[in-house]
Amino acid sequence: MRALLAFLLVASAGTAAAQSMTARETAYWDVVTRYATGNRKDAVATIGGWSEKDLDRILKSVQGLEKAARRCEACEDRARFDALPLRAAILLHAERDRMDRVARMQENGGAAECAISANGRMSADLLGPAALQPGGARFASRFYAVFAQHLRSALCFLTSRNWAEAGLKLAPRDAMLLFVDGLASETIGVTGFVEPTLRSERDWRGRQTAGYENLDPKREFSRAIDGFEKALAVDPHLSEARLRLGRVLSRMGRGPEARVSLKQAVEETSGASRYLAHLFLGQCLEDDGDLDGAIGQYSAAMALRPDSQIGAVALAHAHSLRGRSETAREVLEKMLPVAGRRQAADPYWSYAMGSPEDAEALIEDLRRETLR
Amino acid sequence: MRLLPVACVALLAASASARASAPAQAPVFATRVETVLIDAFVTTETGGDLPGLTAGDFVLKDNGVVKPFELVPVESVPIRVILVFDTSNSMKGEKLERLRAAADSFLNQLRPQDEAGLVSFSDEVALKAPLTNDLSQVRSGLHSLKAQGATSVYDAIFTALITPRSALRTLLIVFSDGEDNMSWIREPQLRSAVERSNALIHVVTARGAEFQPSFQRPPLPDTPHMKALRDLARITGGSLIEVNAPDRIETAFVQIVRQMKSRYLLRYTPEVDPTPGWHVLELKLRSRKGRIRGRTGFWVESRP
Repeated sequence: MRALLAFLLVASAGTAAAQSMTARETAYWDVVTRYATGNRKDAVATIGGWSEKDLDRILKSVQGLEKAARRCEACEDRARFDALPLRAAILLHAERDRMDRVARMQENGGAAECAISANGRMSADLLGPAALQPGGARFASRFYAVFAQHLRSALCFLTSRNWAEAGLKLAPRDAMLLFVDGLASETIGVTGFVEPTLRSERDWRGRQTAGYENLDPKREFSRAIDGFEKALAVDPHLSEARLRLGRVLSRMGRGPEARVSLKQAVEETSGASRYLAHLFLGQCLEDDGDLDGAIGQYSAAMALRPDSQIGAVALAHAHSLRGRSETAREVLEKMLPVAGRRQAADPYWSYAMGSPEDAEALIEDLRRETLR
Repeated sequence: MRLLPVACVALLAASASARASAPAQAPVFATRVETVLIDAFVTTETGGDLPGLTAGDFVLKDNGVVKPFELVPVESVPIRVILVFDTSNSMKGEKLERLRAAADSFLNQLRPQDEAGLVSFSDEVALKAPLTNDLSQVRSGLHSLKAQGATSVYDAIFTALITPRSALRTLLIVFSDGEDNMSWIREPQLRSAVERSNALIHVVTARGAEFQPSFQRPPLPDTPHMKALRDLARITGGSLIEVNAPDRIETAFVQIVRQMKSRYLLRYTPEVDPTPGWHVLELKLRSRKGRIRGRTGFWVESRP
């Protein structure tokens, strides 16, 4: 509602704002308003033509308005600042940044493209001023969390973590940001790779060099545990944090703690998360030598997703360890014909790195809530 | 306690019946009829073939004790090969085309009594063709391969080990161009399954720069994953061949065909009630100079 009011203010009090605006600034806010009012495609295309220099000027003018607004709570400068559609601007720039990144990824044959463009920087730079607006701090922390997940699904794991950590500076006790921070660390630990990062040293042409950080999966998993535990301390109902905490504890060889967490996740979650909780708990039990317990959990996972390949492989393996080769074979024989005809992707496949579709759905939710 | 060797112990009766074109015999888990088939790959010190060896040229030890065995004519035993092929995203384009061509050449080398099957893997493991001597089914499966998704090589190998119904020795030719990043089965579990299986595994890997997704760090000389695949092949007596460019894939397959044609096949029948556990097999040349490679052991399960 406040966002709607903000737009109305811009529309009606546009004259006040326009008094101090240059033509270029007016054009800019016009693009943002077009984006906010549903002309997304057109606005995203237009903003792509703006130079970094132009965007810097806009940012400086917003920062100037922010400075003036900070001086008073109920003056005209504050009202003018609060009326700026900054959240729409942030989403607009972020969308353009994503679009450019996808294009570069396609040009590079699917390689991760993690460099933040001028539009990406603009969206990040506007988050500080936006946090001053009513409801802005909440929006900013959500934006950080959502885009950190998007970056993870785009294989930019370090950038994802940096994004979550930037959000945590703004909202240190935000459960979702703490969770996403852990998520990025878990992903780095599982995959064992990260995007190259820029280094301070320069090559013989004076260009900044890029290199890979040394990775220690255990260190990454410890960071992940820390993030998930902190998230659960703030919000004990964040069941996906419970699931992932159990999984990482299991990877760290902390079986008893993992089992407690995963049993709780089985109770508290539903759908894909519950399916995964059954699988992961089954693996914990299997590692502990409780094959019948493991078979029970894998069977429960299969009951939730009968066409699951991972569930079938897990179940067949447990049966083969139990000496039931024929049962193992039958489980796999039922699974094989389903390949290529599954109704939905197995959640296990996107567990480690996320999926672009899930990330897009989160962004769409944020966009819908913000621009309604 | 009754001792029951698992499927890694092939049935003498089964291979004999195959030679005589009689119906395949179902596995019978009784110790007295079970045999272990050992493919012995023998070369000169410089890698050349060493033909014409007789049983007297080999020494076989089971847990350090010299054991008698028979030399079986290789041509009398049908080959049952399952091609286990990577179709992850990084296989797009020339790589997949080259792999298809290499597989097609390989199939041309098979005899009428031989059988082939095809399992593909990315995120999904798919049976593109069951074991059959109608090779057109396998060729059709090869043409249906599409590159997309991640890499579940361990799950695919596990599936290819478990699904064949006969206890005859199966040859797995695994091709992969990347690190496993999606399997449920972990390396120690797969190793255990391989030890308990009756398969011979040859692996072809491709790790040159053009095979690597560029978001991954450059490959190390031998990553843990590579080491694991090399080890899996070694346990069964097979080999790992590394190629560094798509046009080398066919050469690797030719090398496997050559190895299979020039190998020796030993049939060893363990004593009644063998000791449960892993039996270490040692294979040596008695009086000839050369290199020899064979399966490193077999597993005997104990059951109540």
